[in-house]
Amino acid sequence: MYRYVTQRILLLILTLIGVVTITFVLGRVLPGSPVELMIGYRPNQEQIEAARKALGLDLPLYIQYLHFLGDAIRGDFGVSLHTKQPVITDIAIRSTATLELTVLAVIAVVLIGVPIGVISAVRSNTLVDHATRSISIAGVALPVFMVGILLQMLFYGDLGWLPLQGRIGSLVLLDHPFEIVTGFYLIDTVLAGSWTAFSSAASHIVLPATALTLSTLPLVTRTTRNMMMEVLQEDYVRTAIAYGLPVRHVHYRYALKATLIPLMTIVGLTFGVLLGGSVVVEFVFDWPGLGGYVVRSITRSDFPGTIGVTLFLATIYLSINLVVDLLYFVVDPRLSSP
Amino acid sequence: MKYIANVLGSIVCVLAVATGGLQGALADSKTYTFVTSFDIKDWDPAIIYSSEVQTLLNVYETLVFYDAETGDIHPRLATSWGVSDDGLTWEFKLREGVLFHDGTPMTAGAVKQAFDRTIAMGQGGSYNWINVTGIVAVDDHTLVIETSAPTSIDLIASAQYGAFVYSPKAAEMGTDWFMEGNAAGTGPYQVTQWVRGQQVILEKFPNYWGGWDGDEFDRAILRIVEEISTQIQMLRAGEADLIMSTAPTDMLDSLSQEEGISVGVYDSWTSLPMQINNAKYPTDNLKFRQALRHLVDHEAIASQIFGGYASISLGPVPQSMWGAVKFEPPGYDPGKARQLLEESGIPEADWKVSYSVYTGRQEIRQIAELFQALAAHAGVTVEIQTGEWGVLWDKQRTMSTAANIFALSFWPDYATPASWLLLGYRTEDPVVFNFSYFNNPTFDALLDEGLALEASNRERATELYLEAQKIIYDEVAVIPLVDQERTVLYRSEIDGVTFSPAYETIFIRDLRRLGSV
Repeated sequence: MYRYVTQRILLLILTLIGVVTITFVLGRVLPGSPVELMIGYRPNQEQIEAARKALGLDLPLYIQYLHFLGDAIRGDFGVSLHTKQPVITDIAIRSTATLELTVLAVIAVVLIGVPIGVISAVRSNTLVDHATRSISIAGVALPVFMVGILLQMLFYGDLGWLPLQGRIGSLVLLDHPFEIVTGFYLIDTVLAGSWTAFSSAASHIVLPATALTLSTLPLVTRTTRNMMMEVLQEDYVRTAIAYGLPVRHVHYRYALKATLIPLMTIVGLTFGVLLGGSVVVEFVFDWPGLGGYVVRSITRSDFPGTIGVTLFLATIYLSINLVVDLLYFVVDPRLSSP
Repeated sequence: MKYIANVLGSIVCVLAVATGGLQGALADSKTYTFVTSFDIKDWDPAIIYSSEVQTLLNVYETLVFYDAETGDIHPRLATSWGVSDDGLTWEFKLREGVLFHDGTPMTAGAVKQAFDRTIAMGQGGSYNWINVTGIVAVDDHTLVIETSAPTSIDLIASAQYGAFVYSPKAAEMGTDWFMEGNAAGTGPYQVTQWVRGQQVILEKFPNYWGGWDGDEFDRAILRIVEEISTQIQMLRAGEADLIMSTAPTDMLDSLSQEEGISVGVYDSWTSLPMQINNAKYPTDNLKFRQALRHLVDHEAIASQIFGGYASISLGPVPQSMWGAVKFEPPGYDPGKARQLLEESGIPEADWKVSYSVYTGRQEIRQIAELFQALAAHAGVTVEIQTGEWGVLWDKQRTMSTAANIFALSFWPDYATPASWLLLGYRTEDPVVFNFSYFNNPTFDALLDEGLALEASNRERATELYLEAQKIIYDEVAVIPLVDQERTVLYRSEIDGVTFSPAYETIFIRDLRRLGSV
């Protein structure tokens, strides 16, 4: 087992180096120069040369690469060209906003998606099943930005129940300041004991989290359903029911357990997909997370910003995969025995 | 039945509470909320060179203020000023009793320190001061600026870039301090909060030298909202009072019909020209370039592409600027174009031009496509090359990759027609911004002479600039297209909204909320 873990971690590092190399090469090979961004609209020739030097663009490519690799290992991705802040600071601030949204969505997806999947498997080919399947298909078919905009139109435009955009009310932020401890507003406001700030943060997160949940819910629902269908055919389930064990008990304790491994994989992947997929939702709702940041970095040739975020997301994604794979051992003891 | 009544009752209650809560968040008559797509990138007044002035022009002030309508210069932090007979030494008398937001008094020493720092840092609009050789604080309220050549320091000191006066304490703390969202100017509003990527809060500066009437806004909130459609929703709901970003022109007509929303239309100094490469085949041929001029449909660009929110350019310098030339464009005439093309001696097989169009501006792309379609009628093939601005700019600076036509959107650094002429057409080697590869010693000489006379004899300078513009026109270094208008969307109850092309902002101190006590 330790051998396996070591192997996986080494593999993770290797993959990350691959990611760094690819992003670096693409960034330098593709046209577009960050120089213009760095020095503003109307520079003169000296300013251009000075900026090239400052960015190290006058050095040979392999030396630039080595410099870059060395800095990256130390967590220094340079200064973002479009925010003028160190990339690592930008990521630290913005990633918590994205994580707060994503974690909430994943929790919602699991809490809602799994039971729905189980129900529609148990009652396969009934009205409930057909309804959830149709909704699933609709959910997959609707682009998430459209769901987001529709939610905005309904709950902000027509009903006026929920805020349109942002992470917290402007004036709330000014008049009810709270200390940033975890970066999760929902937690920080509670820690600060500010009910006003908490309810503002909570009302702001509802719509983006719902949009994100709706976009991935069908995947989990359908996977759970299909897996449950298979498991329900297994002999041991039939036997258990024949013994007269409570049906609910059989479904949720015994049958669902057998679906955990594929389900965990799906949830792990979903988490990764949500991290990347939140880009659109963050854009629609002006959520100050990594999504908007990476879009701006890319469209403005901000190499440090783009590479920093890419690496960060790659690391998170790979780590989640690793954690999920390790959890297999916990869930399925058969895997640990040689 | 009772059950249904109960349910209905609770729904009404929830609705009332929810909407009540939302209303409470917006309805504060002394708070002004404006939205824009971009967060503040540079906080350091020595570096600022972009949309941050939309906010920070309310926080920082300049020595003098340019009135774009009359072309006059008004006092601001300086009460009077003058220039020596040789045009080299400027003396500014500074206003007394002015405080920076950090409590430091605004003195000649403070201004000197700020300007010296801005110039030494060499960023943003600092190069406007290129001719300055020394700044001296003669006494607390007299500032002398010396130059190596006659220069209109009064105009430069009125600019929105590179001319902000800031506190010496702040200057000492440096860029890092500013970049945490700090500011210390003399303006009517001071920055009290910046939440990265979300909002900036400005509060009334009680000790503002201009004083307060009492019905101004106490607080202004800048909200950063990326999408224009989201901004419009906020405006409709009354959550935003004004949108600083420019809305697409095709939305403006329907928005102006909506109750409670006003669309302000103002002059701007932004012009959209087609720069014509005078050094690259086949546009190195004068007749060929003249032919291209007959292939542009100015009328269609102004009325169709800009929906009427632009006027036809009569020259390289917009009409709202002094010293602008007036040449009516000849109008679309493929027959005339064809005749000139044949006279040019260039074989018909070579009637091909490349047109560099940067992404991000829908109108610029549409102009290119229209030109492409119209040029085809005269047998000219237009190859549109699209790309991100930085990429195209890079390519245009090298002759081998440069395009024949380069689309541009241009505005000046300070209130002078020379800004367009100097940057776009003065001989340059290597080329940085002279995308026409224009090289004409007579033109260069006229320009230099005009620059030297701007301050002392604006009439003569105007004549020289007009002559210079005629050269560009005759040589077809550029085909001016349209002068853009600046549109601003705002709630109708906001009174006092006005826009000056010289300053990319709406001055908050001039605004009032109608119907509030």
